[in-house]
Amino acid sequence: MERRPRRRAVLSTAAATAALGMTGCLQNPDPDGGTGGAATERYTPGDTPGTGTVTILGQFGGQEQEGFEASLAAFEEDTGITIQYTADTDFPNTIQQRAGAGDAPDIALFPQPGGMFDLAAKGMVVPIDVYLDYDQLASTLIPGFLDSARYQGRVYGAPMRMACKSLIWYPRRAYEEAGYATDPATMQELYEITDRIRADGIAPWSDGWAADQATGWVGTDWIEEFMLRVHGPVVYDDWVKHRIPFNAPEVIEVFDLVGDLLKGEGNVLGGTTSIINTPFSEAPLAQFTDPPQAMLVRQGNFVTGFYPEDIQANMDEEIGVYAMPTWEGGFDGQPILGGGDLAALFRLNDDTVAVMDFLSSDAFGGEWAGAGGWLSPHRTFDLTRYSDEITRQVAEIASGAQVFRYDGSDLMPTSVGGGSFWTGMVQWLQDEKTAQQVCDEIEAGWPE
Amino acid sequence: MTGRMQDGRKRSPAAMIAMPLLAVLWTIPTLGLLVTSLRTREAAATTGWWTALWEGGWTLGNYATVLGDPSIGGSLVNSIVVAVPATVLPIMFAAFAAYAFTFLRFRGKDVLFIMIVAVMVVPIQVAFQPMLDLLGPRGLGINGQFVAVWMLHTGFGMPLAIYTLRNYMSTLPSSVVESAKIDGASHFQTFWRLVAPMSSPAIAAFATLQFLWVWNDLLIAKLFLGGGENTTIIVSLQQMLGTQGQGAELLTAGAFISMVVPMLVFFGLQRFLVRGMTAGSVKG
Repeated sequence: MERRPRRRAVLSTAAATAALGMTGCLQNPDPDGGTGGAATERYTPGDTPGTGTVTILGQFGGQEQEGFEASLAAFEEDTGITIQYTADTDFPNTIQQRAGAGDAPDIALFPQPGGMFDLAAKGMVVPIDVYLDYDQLASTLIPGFLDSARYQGRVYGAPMRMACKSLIWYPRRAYEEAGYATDPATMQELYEITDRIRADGIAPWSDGWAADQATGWVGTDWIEEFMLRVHGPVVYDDWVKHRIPFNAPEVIEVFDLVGDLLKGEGNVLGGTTSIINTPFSEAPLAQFTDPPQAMLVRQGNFVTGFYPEDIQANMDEEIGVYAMPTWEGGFDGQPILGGGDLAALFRLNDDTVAVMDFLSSDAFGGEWAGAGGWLSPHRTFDLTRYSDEITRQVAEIASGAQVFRYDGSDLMPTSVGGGSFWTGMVQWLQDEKTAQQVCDEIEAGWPE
Repeated sequence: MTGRMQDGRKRSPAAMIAMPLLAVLWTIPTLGLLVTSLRTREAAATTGWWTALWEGGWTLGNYATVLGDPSIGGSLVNSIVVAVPATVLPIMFAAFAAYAFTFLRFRGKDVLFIMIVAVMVVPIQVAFQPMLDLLGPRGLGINGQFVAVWMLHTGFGMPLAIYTLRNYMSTLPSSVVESAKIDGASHFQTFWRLVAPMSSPAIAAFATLQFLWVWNDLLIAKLFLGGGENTTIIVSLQQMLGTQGQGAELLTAGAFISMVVPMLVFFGLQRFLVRGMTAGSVKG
């Protein structure tokens, strides 16, 4: 430190120094840290030179991290940019704390848009129209995806991974041997199939909701799937954005329809008690016992990672999948419910923009697709990069959807979509409360 | 086994039955964890661990995967680098403070002591945001370095350390300290030669607790060290999980690997703890 430090530096660190009673060499804090969100005009490369290192914070570790890093390796090689990825299972809290303290990473990968909107409201996230070609991006993405990242008219995150939830999985060998149809056009046709399965002495469905403090999220997906199918995307959007109350008659109707399926006698393996006590990842295990205890599982594409190892090794022959069909008398088109990781930029410079550009393009993810468990949000992604036929089929289902909607509970305020909606589903499933009671309570607890 | 104990008292038959029973009861969760860590994910998901003997599903794969992770070795070292100073520092400061609170007279002593006890009640989580501000780029800019975590663990560990050590020191016979004073010993000499050795059981007990707490700490290590090259073992283990909890079977194995070092510390300090208890006493 100089003998006579600049006045500003003294002021900014004086409080901190006093609090600790420490003097001596203090590093001058970066005055621009985490304030990139203030920029409103278009960013042109060269405005701010990069540092050569880009930090990324995300939720996933383990094999997913390996896939993610493998997909970036060639990019790092070509550009000379070093990418430091940090995984944190408690990402939603960590990002809020770190961003709040001015210690945000350069890029964060949000598994739900809610947390990103909170930080966007504080002006910390740079809208993507500042540094990406919005129209180009929208033209290759699955339609409707960018809308999930829109906050007060501007889009703050670029999708880099998709989860497709409207999928029904079956054990291919046993299912086809018994001769059940694999292409139900409507839910009503699917119900005819499940009636046959039940008549054959097998539980048609296996389902699991247990997820520690997040127990119930699988239930919210069921409600969302039926909302989309029975009442269509317009009512769905109204419901998610709270333009109609949560306890509207349409919602109650959907609860009753889901109840017919899940609570119906002999419809789900082990009944409602088993649903509450089984983690979603263990629900498919019942499909591969000998003989199968259950035939159908409705779950997102990520569930394949939880199949037994010998099944995973031979996925295309062991597992079958079709899209959850439409509702007869409801919305006509094929809707798909999904989710996705949104990459959001906190600090604008040449390097971070280059990384965002790559992450949000359809060229990203080839290596990850090869490793499995990853879906590109782009319709234009090269399908041959996926490691197996099943994933290709899922990608085709997703890109062929007439309507794509983001998981509604992820878009609702956290106290509902990550709180009262979850607990409400559990209470409703266990018949502690009626659909009307649960919806009334969620409505009453909706934050202003 | 039967008969009398070393000091001549009779053994109680009730205790002889109850103690092993309790010991077994207390070991069950750890045993379950150990068995689970040696089973495949599907076996652990479909059958209870106690059925492993006849149901099978054994594997060493979980351990192989965890140990095969290149970051594990480095993060074990990091954990030691974090835990040792974070145990020594608070105890050193707290022992000085406890001595002052016990044997010195100064104005505001009671008020100060009450304040220290009061801050024990503050939950550590609520302090994170202001501390991140202070240590992060807006403040000192030392976030991500070891010194940040040392300071935090010292700060958060001190109140309880001062409280327990003061309470222990106040049970020491004041005649010892008084006679030292008469012999002309300074406070420093009294502390190092008399009070510190006599307090070693309390110090050892607190050191064990503090070490285990720091070793198992996830929140502070994650927020203030980050996931870079300074990652501790607990944070590394957490980073093996996928979005929907893929890889949870690795955590059981990881738990046992991370347990080895605290076990060594515990058994090391335990000997010291027993010796300390029989050592400090007043003689003629």
